[in-house]
Amino acid sequence: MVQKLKDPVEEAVIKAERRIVDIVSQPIAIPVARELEKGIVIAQTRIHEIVNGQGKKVNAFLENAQNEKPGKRSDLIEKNVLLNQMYNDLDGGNEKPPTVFKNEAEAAQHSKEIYERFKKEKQNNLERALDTVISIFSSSGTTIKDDESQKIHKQVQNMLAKELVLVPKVTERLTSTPPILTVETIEFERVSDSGGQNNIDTNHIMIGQTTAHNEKFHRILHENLHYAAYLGGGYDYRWRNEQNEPAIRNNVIWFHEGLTELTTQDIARKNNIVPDKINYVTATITAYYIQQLGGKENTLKAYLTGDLTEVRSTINQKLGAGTLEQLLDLQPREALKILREKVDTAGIDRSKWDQSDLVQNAIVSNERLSKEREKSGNR
Amino acid sequence: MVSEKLETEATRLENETRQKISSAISAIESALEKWEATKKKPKMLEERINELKFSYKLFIEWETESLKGSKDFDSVITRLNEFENLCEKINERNN
Repeated sequence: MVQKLKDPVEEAVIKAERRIVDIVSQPIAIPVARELEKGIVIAQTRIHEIVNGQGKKVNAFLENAQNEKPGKRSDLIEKNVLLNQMYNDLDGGNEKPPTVFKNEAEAAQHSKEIYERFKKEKQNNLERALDTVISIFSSSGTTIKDDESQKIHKQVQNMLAKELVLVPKVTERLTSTPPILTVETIEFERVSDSGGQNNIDTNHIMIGQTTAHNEKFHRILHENLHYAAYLGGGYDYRWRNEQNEPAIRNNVIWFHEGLTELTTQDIARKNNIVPDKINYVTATITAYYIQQLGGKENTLKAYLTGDLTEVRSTINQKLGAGTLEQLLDLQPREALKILREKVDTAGIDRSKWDQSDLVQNAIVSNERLSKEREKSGNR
Repeated sequence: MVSEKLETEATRLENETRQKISSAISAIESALEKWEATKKKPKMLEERINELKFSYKLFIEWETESLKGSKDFDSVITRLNEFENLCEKINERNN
């Protein structure tokens, strides 16, 4: 009887915990209206692309198939003023975030606010899940002083000034509004896949506490890159097609994470630091394939600015029209599968890529992760 | 008599359209979920949410018809025509 009652409660707790992880991985600095508007703009963009892009295609096909008089929808096709305007706005990236912290103390105060919100969300979710207030979770983390991490953070900033020189607006913005790092206790790590977090619309980056030097470097570099890409416009993927028509695909989080981790690994290795693991394994391998196909410099530029025009054009020439668009609409596992198939169909030898240090390390990281998950599942 | 090529192309185009509509439906659902979960709904965004709901309804109807409807050439062409009308309706409302 007790057992019977216990199961749904446990289930509810697990469900609530998962929901909390979802919630706390969202940046909090964005006001509610802005966050809502972001979702609306994404949906509107998709609708606009369908009405104009796909509408145009279907119109052309039907005209051809039924030999009808053209023109009925041509005026609709021309009405992509909104999309063009949005595209041009995104091209500028972000001069600086709306919220700028001047020092570690200010950023630590921001961490505190984040923890307070974690706590509230935990309680709210438990209330909803269990219909009662039970404080099962231990208290949230706190910001700690870690001089070694701050030293690495400075090194990383100097490194990026050289490594990202391809996109001067990013290096200039990084200099005028540098990111502020805080190091958080272990509680924080549980809510972050990469052991760190870039708080969108602020210059505050966080990492979870770790003693391993290489892992500190890995986390700090990864979060610095997220911030650099934010300044350059890299969160909003877009391109112009062969007819110079704009397309926008923002919010492809997995692709952004894959490119961030790939760039992290590239820069670290170039500076003789090999991170102990690779995060976002599938997304990173997919990004690596794209880098091999689209070119290293072009992929880095695309990552930092979000402008995929050149990379898309090269990849679609090699693998067939619409390939990159298709990949961005998929989840990473499926995207990698399709990408591999297309590479093979195009007769491109990918054996060297698969033997590369990066892919091999990624496979090892993946196996380690699976074992860890299995272990924690058996507990 | 419809050529085989035309028939294949019509089916391919309908499948492609359905995929894109499905992806737009997910984006709209995500925006609407956020909206519903917000206690204090900003009035300034209400009209845009209504526009999303309008498109959402049309997309869902078309997607259902496309998934369940007959796959013969005439039906595919009818649905592609309906898709055109749908685009026109959305554009009219948004303008």
